[in-house]
Amino acid sequence: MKKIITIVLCVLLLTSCSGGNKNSQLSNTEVKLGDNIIKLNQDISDVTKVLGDDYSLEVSKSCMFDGDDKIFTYKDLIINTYPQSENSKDLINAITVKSKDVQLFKDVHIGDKIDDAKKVMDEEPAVDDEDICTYEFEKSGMTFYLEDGTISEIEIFLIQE
Amino acid sequence: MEKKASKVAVIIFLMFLCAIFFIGIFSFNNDGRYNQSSKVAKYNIDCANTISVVAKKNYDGKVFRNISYEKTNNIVNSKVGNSTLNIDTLELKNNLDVNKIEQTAKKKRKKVKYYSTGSASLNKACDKVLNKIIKPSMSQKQKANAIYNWVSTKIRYSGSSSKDAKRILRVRKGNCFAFCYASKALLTRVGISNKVVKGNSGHHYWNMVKVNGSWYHFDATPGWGKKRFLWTNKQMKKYKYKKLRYSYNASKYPKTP
Repeated sequence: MKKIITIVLCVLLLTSCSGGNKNSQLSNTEVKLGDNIIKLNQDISDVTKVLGDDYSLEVSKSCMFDGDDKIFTYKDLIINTYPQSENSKDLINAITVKSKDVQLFKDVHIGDKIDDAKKVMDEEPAVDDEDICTYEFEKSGMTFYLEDGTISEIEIFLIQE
Repeated sequence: MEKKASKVAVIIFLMFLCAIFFIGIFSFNNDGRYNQSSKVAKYNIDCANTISVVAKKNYDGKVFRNISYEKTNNIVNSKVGNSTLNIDTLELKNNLDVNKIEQTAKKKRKKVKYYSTGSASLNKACDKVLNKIIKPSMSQKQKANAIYNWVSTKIRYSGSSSKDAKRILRVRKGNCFAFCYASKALLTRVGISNKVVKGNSGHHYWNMVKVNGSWYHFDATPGWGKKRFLWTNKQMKKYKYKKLRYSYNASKYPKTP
């Protein structure tokens, strides 16, 4: 019987550990909303299939790429895309997080104090001003937009040449 | 003793199952929330040379600002000020099999000046950047080059842009408009004469600067394959990168060497 109790307790312990560590499953080019992971450079049509069509769309001719830049605004996210004219796709180049429900690769959220977020990030920011704080990684970056030292928006973006 | 222990184990296991069940329900609700309200109105239209569409929906506190027509990959935008949408018929002539219109409702925003000289807060934002990149000993050309390098590398390309130079310098992102007006603010602050050039399509903006008595083009928007710094009209007209090229009315702007 003791064995059964030990097994049950181990299962519980393992499940609770994996639940609390869910941010570590994401990379610095991904966000998670509900069960859906949205990635930079992902085709937007794959995202609208899972998030639905409750978005507002802004389309403008791109001044950097051949085609149109698009902005898909959902309740919790703003997704910017750039055109890949060779195969008529719109790929994600930035995701702005507007809600606490969206998970990032680090345990930082809208409403956090920037000083606390810096401790979580545990590296030197590339830009550290009173209004924005930007971290740069190999191929992507993350910006915290600040209001009175508190994070009001978080954006992850592709670093494009 | 053993019976009591087995009861405890069963209770713990049942609690665990309940927890999984409730977590499942919570996740389901999270996913379902996107089906509630819509901000995009879609219309099907018959194509003719003259079309006007009256919006059937209105959104409290919002006005329709953008309308786009989709024909395969061609999308044409037109700004509208109220809920009656008049489509540009000239554009439609080339898009006769257009079959879908999408409207975007946007919140009404306070009108902002694109750029204002002498604004103390803008000057402060400019000085914050210039103090890092400009030395008094630099020539005009070196100052212009330092500003070009800062704008083209420190501001990030994004599909939309604020029209307020101060905000652009603060958030450091935007489209060609942002690169152009950030450059304008910084160049003006260091005393370099400059002008904004608007491309014929209305989709691309850049600057002209007066360096050592002559005017040149200065386009700090990235992604065009080459640095376009102090270029002449001849260089601009000749340049092509993929499908990007410059088209503008040179007679409206200062002559270049």
